[in-house]
Amino acid sequence: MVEKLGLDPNAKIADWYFHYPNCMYAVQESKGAYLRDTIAQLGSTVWQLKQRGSKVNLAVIFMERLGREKQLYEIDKNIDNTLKMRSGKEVKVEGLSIHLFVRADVREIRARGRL
Amino acid sequence: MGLTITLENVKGAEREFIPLSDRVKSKVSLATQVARFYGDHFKVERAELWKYATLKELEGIPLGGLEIPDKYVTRENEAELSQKMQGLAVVDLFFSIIRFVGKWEGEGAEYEAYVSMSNAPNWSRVYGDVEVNVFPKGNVRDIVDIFYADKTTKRHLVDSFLDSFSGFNDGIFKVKGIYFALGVPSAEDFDLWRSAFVSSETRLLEDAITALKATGDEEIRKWLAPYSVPFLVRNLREIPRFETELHGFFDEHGIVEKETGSISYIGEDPESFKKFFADLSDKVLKPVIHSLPPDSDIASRIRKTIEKQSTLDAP
Repeated sequence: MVEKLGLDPNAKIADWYFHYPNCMYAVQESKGAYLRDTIAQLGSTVWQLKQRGSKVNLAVIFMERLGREKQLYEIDKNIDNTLKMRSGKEVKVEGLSIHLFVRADVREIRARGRL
Repeated sequence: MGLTITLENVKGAEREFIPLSDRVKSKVSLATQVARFYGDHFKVERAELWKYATLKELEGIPLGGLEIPDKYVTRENEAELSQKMQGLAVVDLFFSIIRFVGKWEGEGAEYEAYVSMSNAPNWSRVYGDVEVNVFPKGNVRDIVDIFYADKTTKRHLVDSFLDSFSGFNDGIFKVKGIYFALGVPSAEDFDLWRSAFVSSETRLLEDAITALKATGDEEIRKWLAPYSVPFLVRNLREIPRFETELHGFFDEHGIVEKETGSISYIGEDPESFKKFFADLSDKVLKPVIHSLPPDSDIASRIRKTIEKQSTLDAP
């Protein structure tokens, strides 16, 4: 992805940049063990992509679990798993909402067959 | 978690009035010592000062910074940083976070890295007082993946660190815990630990039971509900056979116990703690838990006693 999109290989880079059939462009990060650092990585990638004129409509994070960081953040399941601070403020990178899914959410979504 | 250090007040110091600026200075000093310890790998580029959090996206407010041209935090850098901190408003100092940002140079690879010192209470409750980590890249998810690349690296970067920092005490703070783990430090994620320095074996067992309660197993959670974790650990530790089993698990899974006032538990392999936790849970804790009267039994006994008492008291 780094070579193909001309991103800085030394910068913080997310794992995936992909294109949905409905014309949505998404950036996804799924490796990080820390939510805080994953947000930084996602933000850096979205910024770089936008600088190069690439479209980004969705920012998505997949994590194993939220763990102790749930003391600082929460997931709003009523609004497509949007990530918020405990203060209620939505977390955004480059103006985009972040949609956070943990393993248990993925199981639930699969069972439901939709978001 | 990467590498996380938690601090506590030195006994006696909590009763004295220690100015906030001195407490912050103490933490800054520890963070710089940690950055210097890893100086062969961690090439510092700048120090950033933040309030509340280290990202604007997380309500963080930048408070300035300092360029570090030598790639190494010198005494002069530390003094300049302390001076900048003294110039902050009290509320800014109270919620301050300092982050040394740079590159971690590993075997043929370079990673964005940081050493952080947190003074903001809600932030340090989650991320610890001092932390070291890299941003994930390639197969590296966390700095512990680098530390545990091979036994020699682990000995230099983990064992030596524990030897050097477990006794930290500057008269204001002393080290309470040091954790090497994947992700944010938490007793709930015991299976992600790699090595740890904790106050006692009792504390380690309390963390293991807390982790078991957090596994999401509804049956275990209900069974354990009436019992406190310290009660269970106290009673387990009074059984000589349990101690033998416990140390057998340490040996079997390559966890080396080193007593240095408190105790360091050094996992020889990345999976040491995971395997230790699995054995301790499956072979000891779960059978013990299932032998205890469940919460429904206790609730029923309470109900029967009260009802019986009411019948006797009735006119």
